[in-house]
Amino acid sequence: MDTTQLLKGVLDAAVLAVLDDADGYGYDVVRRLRSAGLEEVGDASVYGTLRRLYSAGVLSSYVVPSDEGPHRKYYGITPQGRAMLETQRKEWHIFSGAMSALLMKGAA
Amino acid sequence: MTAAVLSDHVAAYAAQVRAHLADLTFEQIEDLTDGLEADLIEALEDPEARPVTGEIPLAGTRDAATTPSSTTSLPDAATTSIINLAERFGPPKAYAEELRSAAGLPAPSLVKAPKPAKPPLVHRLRTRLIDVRARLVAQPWWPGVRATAEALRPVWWVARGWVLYSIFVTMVSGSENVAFVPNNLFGILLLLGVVAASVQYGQGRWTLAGKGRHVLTAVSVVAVVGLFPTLATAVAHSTQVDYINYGGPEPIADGVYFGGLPVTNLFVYDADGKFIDQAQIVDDKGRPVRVDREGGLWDESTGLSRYWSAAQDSYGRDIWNAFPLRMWNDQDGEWDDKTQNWVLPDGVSPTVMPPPFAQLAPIAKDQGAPAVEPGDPGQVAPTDPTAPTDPATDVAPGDGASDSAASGDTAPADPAPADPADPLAPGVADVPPAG
Repeated sequence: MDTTQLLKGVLDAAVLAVLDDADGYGYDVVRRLRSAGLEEVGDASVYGTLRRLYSAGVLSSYVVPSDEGPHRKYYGITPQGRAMLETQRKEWHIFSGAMSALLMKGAA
Repeated sequence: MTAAVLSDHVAAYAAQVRAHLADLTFEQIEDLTDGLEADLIEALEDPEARPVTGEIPLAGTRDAATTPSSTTSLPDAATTSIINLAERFGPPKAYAEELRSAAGLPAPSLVKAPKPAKPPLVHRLRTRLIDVRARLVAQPWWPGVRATAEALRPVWWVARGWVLYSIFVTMVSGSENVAFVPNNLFGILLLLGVVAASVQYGQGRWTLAGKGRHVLTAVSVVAVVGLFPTLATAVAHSTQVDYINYGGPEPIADGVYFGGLPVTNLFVYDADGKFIDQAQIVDDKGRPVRVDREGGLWDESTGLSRYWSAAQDSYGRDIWNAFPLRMWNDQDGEWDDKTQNWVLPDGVSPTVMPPPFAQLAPIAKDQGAPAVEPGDPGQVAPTDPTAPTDPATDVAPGDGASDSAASGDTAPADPAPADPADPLAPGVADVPPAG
């Protein structure tokens, strides 16, 4: 199974879930996705997704000044983002349930 | 590999990524790649980072992960080389495409439309600006500089307010009247108001949506651009010396003046108060005192020009300092084409000007100093009444037409006697009250 393709479909939900936990900047989100188990996720994909979600209004962003390095642009989830995440949770639940049932049928 | 070198490579990679996004708008590129350099560096420094699909793993990365003591350091150059970041992140083009598609932006069309050899200049400049800025931000000394700049921001707010005030006041009141410091109450109020507005805006308390934001940004840019010229002009103005005519006082034309007006004739009286006709007057240097001027006198009341006529000495030379000078006017004379002037024809005599007084009060004798004899030019006593009291060619006001007037005498020293048009015929003695 091509996880890249799988990931593309659910990256939005994954990013929203990460940011629902806590705000984060670009590479921070990448790191957290990877440590959550999505090791194949590409940096560029995450950055692009963050940008798109921000444009869609489900993420907010702000710049945090840093003493040691460049300022980082942090993203946070908005109420619309939480609503979208909730929808996606339900959709995933239904979808993954169906897939699991389908895939496990043969194994059972 | 030092951090500076690394940041150069990262910057180069990022620039290439941006180049592949060149068909997008400035804002889009900025949104997608702002912070890209920092993210790339962080990814490179992250010991736990695994290469993802399309990237080629670095041997050094795994080594670093197994040596906890060096988790925060980059793989050293001996084990790996990451000069070509494409090995780590994939080719910039692929990175750009992944970025673009994840962001939901359309991919560049497969059928390459004939596009110009280079993107428009403005576009190239903008992407170049982003690159420069990113490199700057990645420099190690940048945080310090930035911290200082941040600390100085309030100063900039005040300066911006002042610059805008200066520009506004200068524009409104005309360019001749540059004002840098308010010198009245309204100016002070205006300056304080503009500075307060600038500070409020700088603190982020004022934001306008959409277009308004750009307007305020443009105003700030104007203030930045105008800061240096305004400062320079202000300095120049504050040190400007009032114009002083170092060449000395303007040369005054020769002549005799009293009360600011030129004297047109002089009348001399001797010590007994008797009028002396054709008295010759010289100044302390022996120069003839003259009242005549080129072009004659324009008399408004009669509409005629009046001219002086010189006396002649025994050799026939013109003597211009024998007073009173005779005068004549246009009606007496005729036009000479050759000299383009009015001339008095031969045989016609100029008019003798009547003295204002037939007689003045005699000077009291014995005023202390011996009388000056001719030939004793060095013995001009200050109280001697027969000598000119003010030995100057340009007879200063207060002395005009009063060479014979005794100091402090009641002889009137007003400029009226200079006008021979006064209907004072000789013989009509205006004898001054006995002094």
